[in-house]
Amino acid sequence: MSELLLSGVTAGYAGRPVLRGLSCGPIPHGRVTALVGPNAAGKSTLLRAIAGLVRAKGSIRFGDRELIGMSARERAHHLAFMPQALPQDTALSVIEALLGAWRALPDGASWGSEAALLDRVGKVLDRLGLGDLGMAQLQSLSGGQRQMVALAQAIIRDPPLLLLDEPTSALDLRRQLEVMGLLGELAREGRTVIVVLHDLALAARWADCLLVMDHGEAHGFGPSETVLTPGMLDDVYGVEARIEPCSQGRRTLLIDGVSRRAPPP
Amino acid sequence: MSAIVSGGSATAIAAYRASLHRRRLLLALLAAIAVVAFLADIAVGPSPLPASEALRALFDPSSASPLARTVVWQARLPPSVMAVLVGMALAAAGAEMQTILNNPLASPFTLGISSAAACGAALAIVLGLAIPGLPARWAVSGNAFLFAFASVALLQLVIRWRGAGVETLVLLGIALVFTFNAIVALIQFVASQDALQQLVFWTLGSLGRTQWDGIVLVAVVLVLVIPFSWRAAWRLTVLRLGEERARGLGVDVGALRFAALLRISLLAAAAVAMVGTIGFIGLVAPHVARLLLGEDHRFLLPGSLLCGAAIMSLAATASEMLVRGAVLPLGIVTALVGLPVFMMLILGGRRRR
Repeated sequence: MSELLLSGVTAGYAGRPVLRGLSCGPIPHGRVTALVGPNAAGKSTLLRAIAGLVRAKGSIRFGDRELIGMSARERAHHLAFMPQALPQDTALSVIEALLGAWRALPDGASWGSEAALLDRVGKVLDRLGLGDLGMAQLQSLSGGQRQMVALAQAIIRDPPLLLLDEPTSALDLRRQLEVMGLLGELAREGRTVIVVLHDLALAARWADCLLVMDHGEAHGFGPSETVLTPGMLDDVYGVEARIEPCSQGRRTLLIDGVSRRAPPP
Repeated sequence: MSAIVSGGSATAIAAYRASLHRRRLLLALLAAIAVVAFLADIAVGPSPLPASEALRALFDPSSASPLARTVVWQARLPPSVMAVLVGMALAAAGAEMQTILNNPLASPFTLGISSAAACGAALAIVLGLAIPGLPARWAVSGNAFLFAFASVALLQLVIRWRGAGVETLVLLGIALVFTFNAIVALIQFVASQDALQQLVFWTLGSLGRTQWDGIVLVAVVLVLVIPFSWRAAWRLTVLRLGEERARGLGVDVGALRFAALLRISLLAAAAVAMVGTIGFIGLVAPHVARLLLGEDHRFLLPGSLLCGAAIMSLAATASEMLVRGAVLPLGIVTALVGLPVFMMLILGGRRRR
């Protein structure tokens, strides 16, 4: 099974270490794992380290492969990374953006016929509800629509490991739920899905596992019932919170205010 | 499983196929325009030869008068062919530069290639410094090429060494522009009146000095470089969506940028060495192509090549027609002719959106 195992991962930017020997896992295959934590906890950096966009030390094993030190060319077959920034203004149609996501692969230009690829593009567009926008130019799309296109780009190549940095940040409520539902489907079809989420409630409700990060380290990892506790919220976020069943019996997160003690520096 | 919100993609896919067809037709149309502009460039010139006679000498030399043959084949054809090749080289370089710098205002000369070339030319014209072993008539071109190519190579080295990004690249390029301009000014300060005039004329850009061996050189550079641009077309397209996204999709952006800069420096250095500084083409031709064809580089790259050729031929034709009996420096004409067309396209394009 293609689990993801992190051990002693250190990464950062010029003179500023962000991840300090983070170990965690195995992050399960066939499940959605949400990376949560306060600002500057290292969520995006961890995702970028797994994707190879920031140089990392330690070990990141996916299945029986070591990702650290793998060439961009080989890595592209194992994973796709969707950055937090939305696609910028361009005179490219959505279909071209999706074709490009495939054809830009080192050996993508020679892969398959145009007809087969367009067929695949059509399926992804329909699955994400973007069918009508196929010929719209990216520069004419709204933020939420662009985010959906970015998600489509990440999934069109069908990699076994999906790394998504805040894929719902520009989406309205309904789309957020639809996308989280879709990520669950994608995971259960046989992928490892790791997603940075800012919204704890969304993460707790929709992700199978939470990886709570704090100061570049893993603070807790597991199903949300075990990880999402008032103690963790106090420790990591510096807030007073309750987890209580709502009228329908679901665990619901209630934030009462900031903790009386000072937040950790 | 269920789709999120059903909206059939079949219509969009069909529209995409139609857009491929439409853009292929547009490319064919651009090619036709380029050919017509080339023929117009042959048909007119400073010597009083009727256009029909000139074209007859081109297509059916045996039926034309010896004078017409000489004028067309020896005086008009070399600069006209050079105009097409230089237009293509500068446009291709400009298209790639705009993409890798993520800046629509970039041109082949953004990073100082033309200033470096002018500096090399100034050293040859004013101080007589040249690459040893090169024939005297190649001294200026040789120096210009060497300096233009070396300036980009220097930038590449710094980028590799420091691992810097696009902003640093542009800033270093601007620093190079000022450095070379200052050196050129210094050389001008010590230059004789005669050498100064030569240098100024060189920087204005002209096809008048064209020789067949120069044509062969630019053609060889184009033939060697363009296939690599074509191979990178999809990666360049994806880079337009943002550097981080391209990297997330497996594009080695550093290597892509390195190779593109190498291609740009070869194309621009070859062009500037042969005809001097001809601005505007490298900025405008990719813009026109983008407005007509979009940013899919499978169409943008060939479209830029054809637009570059057409605009250069038209500018060359105009440079022979604007002042009777004289050929204006081409660099001036490209700006004067290109600017109104460019403005029209930009303002028209804005309104449509």
